[in-house]
Amino acid sequence: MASHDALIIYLVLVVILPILFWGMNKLLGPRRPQRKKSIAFECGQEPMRWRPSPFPFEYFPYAIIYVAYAVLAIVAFLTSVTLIDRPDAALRVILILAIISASSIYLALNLRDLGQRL
Amino acid sequence: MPLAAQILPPPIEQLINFITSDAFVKAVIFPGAIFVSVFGLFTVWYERKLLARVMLRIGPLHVGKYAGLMQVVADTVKFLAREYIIPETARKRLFILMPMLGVVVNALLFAFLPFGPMWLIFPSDISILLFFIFVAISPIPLILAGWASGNKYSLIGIIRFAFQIFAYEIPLFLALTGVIVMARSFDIVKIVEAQASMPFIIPQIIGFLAFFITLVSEVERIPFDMPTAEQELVEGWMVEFSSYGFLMLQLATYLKLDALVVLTTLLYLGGWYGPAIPGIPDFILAPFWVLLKSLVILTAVLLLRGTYPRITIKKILDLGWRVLIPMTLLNLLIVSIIMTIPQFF
Repeated sequence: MASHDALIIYLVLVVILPILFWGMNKLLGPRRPQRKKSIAFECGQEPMRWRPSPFPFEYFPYAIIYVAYAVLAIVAFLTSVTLIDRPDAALRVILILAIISASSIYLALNLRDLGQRL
Repeated sequence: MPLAAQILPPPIEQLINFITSDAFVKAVIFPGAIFVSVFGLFTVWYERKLLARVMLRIGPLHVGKYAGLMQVVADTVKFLAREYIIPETARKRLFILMPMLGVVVNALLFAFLPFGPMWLIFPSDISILLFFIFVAISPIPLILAGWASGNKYSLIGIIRFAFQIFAYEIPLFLALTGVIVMARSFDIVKIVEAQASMPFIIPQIIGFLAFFITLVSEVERIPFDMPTAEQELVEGWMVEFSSYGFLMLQLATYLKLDALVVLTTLLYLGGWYGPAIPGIPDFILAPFWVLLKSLVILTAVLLLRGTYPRITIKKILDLGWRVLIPMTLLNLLIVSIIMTIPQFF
């Protein structure tokens, strides 16, 4: 149980520390509010209004690629962790990993100019 | 009955027992809160001094007896004594809370890092997965802090931050998988023990390189500091934070850097294994080797800032899937082959 005790004490401390700093800042820091200070920073200019901006199409293909790779990463993780419990499945594991690695290298070399513009 | 127990009243005796208990020492002194704070402050000082040397300057010098060591403490006091300005466009509660949460999440990373077989706050069979979970959620308070600012530069910063997470999270996970498979364990202590004869950097040099690059990207250091790009985004998602808020966000990012540097040492450089020094007991020698190796990695990460220019967001997105993911998959394949070879001999 000692390990849990240490974690609980550590958790309490790391929660208290920022609150303590905040309290110290409240005590030590001056408070002289001015509108000049509280307007949003825009390089010394009066802030401009927000306007709707288009969806960033340029990076859309990357989003698709990374979602696909997230799934593949889980497959690779589960496949390789099988090696720990089942050494007899080694050849199949190596085959799957070899196919995934070879396809990722093939794609990296052959898919060029991903940026999309309207 | 010991003499102290006869003299001291029971509540004081209980207090002394608590303070000298294993749990208290680990949580408060080493590797707990005091050590983590000092390590964070030391990193800031070390970075300033090292970069000054790279640029042929002297760096912090006057505050403190040796080499401006107390400069960071003076800076901390200065930050606390400034007004915490909350912009009128900010979401007030989040603006105050998120810097705090950032420190809490990043400081918790140290709970799973062993500095020796016995120097560990929370031993667990799945410590590497717990560490990864906290690393994966650690950008969330920072992204929310940027969003809560209600500023255009912050918004651009957090969008870049989100894109960067896309690029490095998968290679990081795959690099960790290589280490887990080779050590046949999810426990960081057992992973280090598996390196008693040979550190994993030798069979997994490709994985190490990919892990190192993702580490630099994870902590937003140059050349991967697009979210806070100083010259174009004036500190990006941190632009509206002053005094206490800025201090907390800086502390959070430095804690994350330190935790990942120590993790690299434990996963690839053999952790606490090193030549024995006569006269020094093992329980001191183990943290010594971990910290010394971590310092080498830390120096490499910090030197990048003095050496490389910033890369563009498109380049990091390309680097992620064209280079890092194939590298880590290849590393996993090599690990599986190495693990299989002994069966055939």
